Amino acid sequence: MSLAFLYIDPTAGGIGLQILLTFLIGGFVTIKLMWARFLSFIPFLNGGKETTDDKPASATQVSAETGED
Amino acid sequence: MFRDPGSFRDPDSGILFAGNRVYRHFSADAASVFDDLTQKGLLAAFVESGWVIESTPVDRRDAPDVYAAAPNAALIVEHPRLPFISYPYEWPFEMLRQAALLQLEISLEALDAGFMLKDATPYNFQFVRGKPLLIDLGSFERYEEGAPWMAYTQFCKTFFNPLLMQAFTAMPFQPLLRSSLEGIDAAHLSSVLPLRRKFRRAVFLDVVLQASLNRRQTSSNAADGEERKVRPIPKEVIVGTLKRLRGAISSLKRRGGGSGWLDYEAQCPSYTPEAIEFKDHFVEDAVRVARPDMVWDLGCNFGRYSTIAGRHAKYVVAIDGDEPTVGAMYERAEVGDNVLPLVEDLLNPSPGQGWAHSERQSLESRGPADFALGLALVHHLAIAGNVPLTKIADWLSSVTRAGVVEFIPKADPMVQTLLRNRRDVFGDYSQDGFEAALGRHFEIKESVDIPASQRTLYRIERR
Repeated sequence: MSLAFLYIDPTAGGIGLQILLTFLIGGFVTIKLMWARFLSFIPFLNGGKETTDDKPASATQVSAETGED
Repeated sequence: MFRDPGSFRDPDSGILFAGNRVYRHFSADAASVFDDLTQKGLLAAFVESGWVIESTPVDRRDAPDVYAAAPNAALIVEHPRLPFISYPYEWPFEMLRQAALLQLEISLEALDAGFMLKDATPYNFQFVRGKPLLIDLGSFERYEEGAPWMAYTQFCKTFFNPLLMQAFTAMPFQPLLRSSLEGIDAAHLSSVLPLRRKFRRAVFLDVVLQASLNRRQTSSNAADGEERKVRPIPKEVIVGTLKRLRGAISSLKRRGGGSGWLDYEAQCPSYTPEAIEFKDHFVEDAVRVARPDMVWDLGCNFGRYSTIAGRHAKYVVAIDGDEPTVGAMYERAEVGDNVLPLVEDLLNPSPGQGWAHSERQSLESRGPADFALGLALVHHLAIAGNVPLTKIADWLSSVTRAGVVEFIPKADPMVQTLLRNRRDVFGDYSQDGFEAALGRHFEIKESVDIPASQRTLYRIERR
């Protein structure tokens, strides 16, 4: 066992988890944004709809999706 | 004037007592947060909702002695005095769950208004009128964009993990929380949770993954020894975490909830309906005449006599060692909101503990009560617990000034049940012996035999 375990910051893992969730949500938003752009280049996949009004999901929307258990 | 021995960890705020009055002092920083909370109307809204304790600012000119006791205080407020302080390891599952949900609701509302709670511990709550109440106004701080929720781990250790442990393993959290005031570690909980439970989202993220990150963080800190740059955390991540925990806790239910004591009143063969009515009247008359401020119902079972006492006393602390029964009592509508149900094994009541044994008070030091009920209690202490009658009377005199106690002789069917599988080594257990033991501390004002039973009720007053 590491000696540092004796001096652990009790919030270390908790902050680490919040950072991890930030990356996960950030990645999710990026993928969603790229997918929307990809669809906009291929009209037949998009049912011929205009995609200029499509907005990327906000972080709030994403967090709401990942929020309630 | 003295400081609350349990209020010293926060350098920006603490509690002072002056006689019967309770004050909270704030440093200049904490006072400016308090002013912001007041000006934005958030504090008034929380108080109006019954979520946060009332506070009245105290002018320095009106209370120079109080300010002198806290020389660094920029602001002092007065709180109403609470009738009884209880601790999370004395609460049943249902009470800790309700306090946890309130902590999350307050955190969400505060965050929306630009504030956070810097700590998240059930010790910041007390139960008043049947509901949890946040008593630590010093917990509020301003939210800074990008800051993480620093109290997240503390919330998990002291609220979420104990509730999960009881809900998913049927192990009551009270004994563990009593010995570990900082709560239950994610790694320890993770090691006892059934595998299938670990795949629930909140359990996976907030217990399993957190335990794993704690280990990794520790080993990486040990490897590089450098301070790491803290990355900004979007507010949405904190809101998502608060809501995820709220959803998970709302869905938790106690496991292993059945207890023989839940049906005790209905199934006890020692009382006929007339005997129950007689006992009800005797207890009610005794409390009505005494008009006590504080009653302790020792061994309250489902709260029948706590409810009766609550009609005539200002406040009743209802104590029983059977956690499921106390939990069911907390949710019983008939029990008045001036009755506080607590889990407490009277053979091993809460000790003074924490820093210097004084941070959390023993049960006894939170007394004495003005009046106590010890109904169908003595035979459990004496025969199930092997406590001599003289010691029971000594202890009663240390926790109450007066009361009603019941003596149940060996011939009673319930005592026979206790004796069934053991040798009778209780030669001193007799009505005469009980009266002699009581007589050392109390005057027996009245004694009556309960009709159609062999039981006797005593109304006593300390000499």
